[in-house]
Amino acid sequence: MSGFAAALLLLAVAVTLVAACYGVSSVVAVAPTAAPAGPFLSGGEPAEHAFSRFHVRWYPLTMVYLAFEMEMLFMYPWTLVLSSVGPSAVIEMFLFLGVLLAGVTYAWREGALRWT
Amino acid sequence: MVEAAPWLVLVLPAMLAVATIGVVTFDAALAARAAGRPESLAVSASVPFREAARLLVGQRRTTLAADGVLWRAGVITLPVAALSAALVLPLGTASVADLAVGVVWFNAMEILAWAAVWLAGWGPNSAFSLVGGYRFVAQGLAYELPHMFALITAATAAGTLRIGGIVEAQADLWFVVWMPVAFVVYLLSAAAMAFWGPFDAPVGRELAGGAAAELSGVDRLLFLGGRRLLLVVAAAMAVPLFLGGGGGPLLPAWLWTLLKTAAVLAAVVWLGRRFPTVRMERFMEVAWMVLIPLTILQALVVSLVVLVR
Amino acid sequence: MDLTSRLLRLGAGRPHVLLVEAPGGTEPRLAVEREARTRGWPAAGSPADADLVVIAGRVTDDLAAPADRLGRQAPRPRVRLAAPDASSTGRLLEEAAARLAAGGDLEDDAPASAPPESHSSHSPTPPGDHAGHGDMEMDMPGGVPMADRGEDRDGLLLDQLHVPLGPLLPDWPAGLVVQTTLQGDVIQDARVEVVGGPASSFWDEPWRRLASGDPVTVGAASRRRIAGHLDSLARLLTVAGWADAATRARQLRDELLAGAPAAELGPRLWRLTRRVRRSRTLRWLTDDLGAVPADTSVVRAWGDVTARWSGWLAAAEQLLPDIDRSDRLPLGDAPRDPPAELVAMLPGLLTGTELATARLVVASLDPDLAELGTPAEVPGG
Repeated sequence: MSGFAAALLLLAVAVTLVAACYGVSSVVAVAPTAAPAGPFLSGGEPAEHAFSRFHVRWYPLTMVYLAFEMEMLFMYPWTLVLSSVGPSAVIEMFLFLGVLLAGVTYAWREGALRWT
Repeated sequence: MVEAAPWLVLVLPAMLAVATIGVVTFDAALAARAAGRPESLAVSASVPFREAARLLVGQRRTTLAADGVLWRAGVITLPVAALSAALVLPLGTASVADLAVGVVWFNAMEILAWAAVWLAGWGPNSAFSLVGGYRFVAQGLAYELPHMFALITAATAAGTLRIGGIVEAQADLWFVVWMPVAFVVYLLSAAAMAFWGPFDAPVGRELAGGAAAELSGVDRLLFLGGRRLLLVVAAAMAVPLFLGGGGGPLLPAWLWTLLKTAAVLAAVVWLGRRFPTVRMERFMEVAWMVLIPLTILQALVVSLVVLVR
Repeated sequence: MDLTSRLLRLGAGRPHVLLVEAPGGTEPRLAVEREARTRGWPAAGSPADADLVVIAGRVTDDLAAPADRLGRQAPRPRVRLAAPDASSTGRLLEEAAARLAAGGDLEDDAPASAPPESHSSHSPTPPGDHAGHGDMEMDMPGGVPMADRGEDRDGLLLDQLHVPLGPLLPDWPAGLVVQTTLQGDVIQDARVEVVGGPASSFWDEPWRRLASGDPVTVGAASRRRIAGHLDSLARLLTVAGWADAATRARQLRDELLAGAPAAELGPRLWRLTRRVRRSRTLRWLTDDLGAVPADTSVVRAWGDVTARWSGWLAAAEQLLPDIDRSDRLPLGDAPRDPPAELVAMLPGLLTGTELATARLVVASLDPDLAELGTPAEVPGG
């Protein structure tokens, strides 16, 4: 059986187990799903829905993170060819990482890693 | 020598469940000791069953105008992703599938936890759970890159992305000996990805349970159980990656795997109770300016060694 | 449903307790915490996680609606308990666990809880009444509007959520309500109110008795003071996420109040204070938070959060040798700082902080509002 067929099989087993949990719960639970309750606000009632545009203060960091993620996409195959390609592979990859680290340092000095 | 054994598909969930029960037992024993009330093993071992029973008979809840589809999808994704990540986890000499890109598969499956926790935080239309969900995304930005570098370091030393190949490459010397930085960073990131211990801000007490604030009944069981399952899988993966898999004298491979996994899990669970919760606004600098350069340096050292070999 | 009842009994052996405090409820809260801790029952962080919902203290009129809402938010099986005083708390909890094993409270709550409480402040207009308004209100599920926008400190218009912290929140000073306006997880605006009470403060009891003429020993007063500091420390450590150290602090507090001698408690107190002081992680997390300048009159609030919890540790160590003394407390010995000024400081300290930081700041000030008690908005900030 190929690897990904086994993955599908494992996924099917996982979903079956989850469904079994829900099934057991529907039989065994002391009461059916409760009527909608308000969110927990220390006993208060909600003034508005919580579905809102959440102000993410660390969004500049996500841009830097994306740059690194794109680099990681290249690092995975790089590990496979490292020993055959030789020193040039190491030099290129770590120079690239150095450039990215310089960008991270700049972001750090600009305060993208601190918020509030 | 790790071989693929599809029949493990049925045994693997059972063994992971046993490990999860062990984690809950150990955690309860530590909590009882801290409360000045040391309890017997039997009492601690009954805790996971009591919790599971309590949650199975518990009533499920929904909240005002909750996004039911996304909410339940998030809750379900966490245990399913954890189990899927265990596809390449070798128990001794056999894993369910020894994919040629096993490391990448593991990484991809545990990243699904980001979506799971955020969805679980978004779904119930509650301010506290929303904040908890976003906290996990921020935490992900901090731990994921050091985690990936640690994985890359192990893969580089073995020259392959196949978990079986990484185990074989440690036949002479375990990786933890000559890449300790990667090992420590991997353990920290394993705790962070399961939002355990010092990294439990997404489900923190000061946030009324954070992303799990509005969960009850079997949903809570699946979400928090999935979290512990992810911790088990991530900690267990440290064994083939850094601790030589099933290698060792005298005992059979599967027993060595079990012992090493138990040791790593005990260390991670203990670590969880030892420190206060780390806030990302303080930790992010440390993660990006200390951990990432350290892991890059570690990777450089390892790749130089590989070249010289 | 034999399986259900078996599982119920299994689960009822370890119920999760949601413990909230109303002003004047310090003594029953301490009793419930002690009883739950000795039985190994964990504390719940929210009603969804709770099996027992315990409200310690007297529930006044302005706390009645929040208390009711809180109880209804807990899923079944649940038992709602009121603990107005500290008598026979152990038996109360045991009976509650027994009721839980039998399925919990079975009151009928269907009409009041659906649709939930939001209609109390907006009267539901029938769609035909106001032509324009009718369309708008039909879009809002549950009668609750979507989040509105407000300016942040840079002038950007961002969505705002109004999240009250308190009155019925675990590990939160009793009677305190901080009405926050959140943008993301940063508090843009904080208004402080005090609800519940007035009631007599448990921590100030020795000095109250002294002022009314009763003889009070130095030992009793020291014990109460150290226990108060340990209680504040336990709350701060819980909010900071260090549950084990918090449990140890609570255990010491309970033994202190139960009258254990200094010889027995001394080594354990030193161990706790040494461990908390040596925790560089805790310092790193609490440094430079909620800094109160040294020119305010409230002496014990000076400094940042680290300075305040270090102050508790130092005061506890300093007072420990006095807990066995039986000489009389001299008249004029002062109790803690008045809470009204602490509360007036809060809006300024909390604006612009993140939620976790805000909770740490409030926990480090830990105002005792039992005697303040009039439900009024506190000016300032």
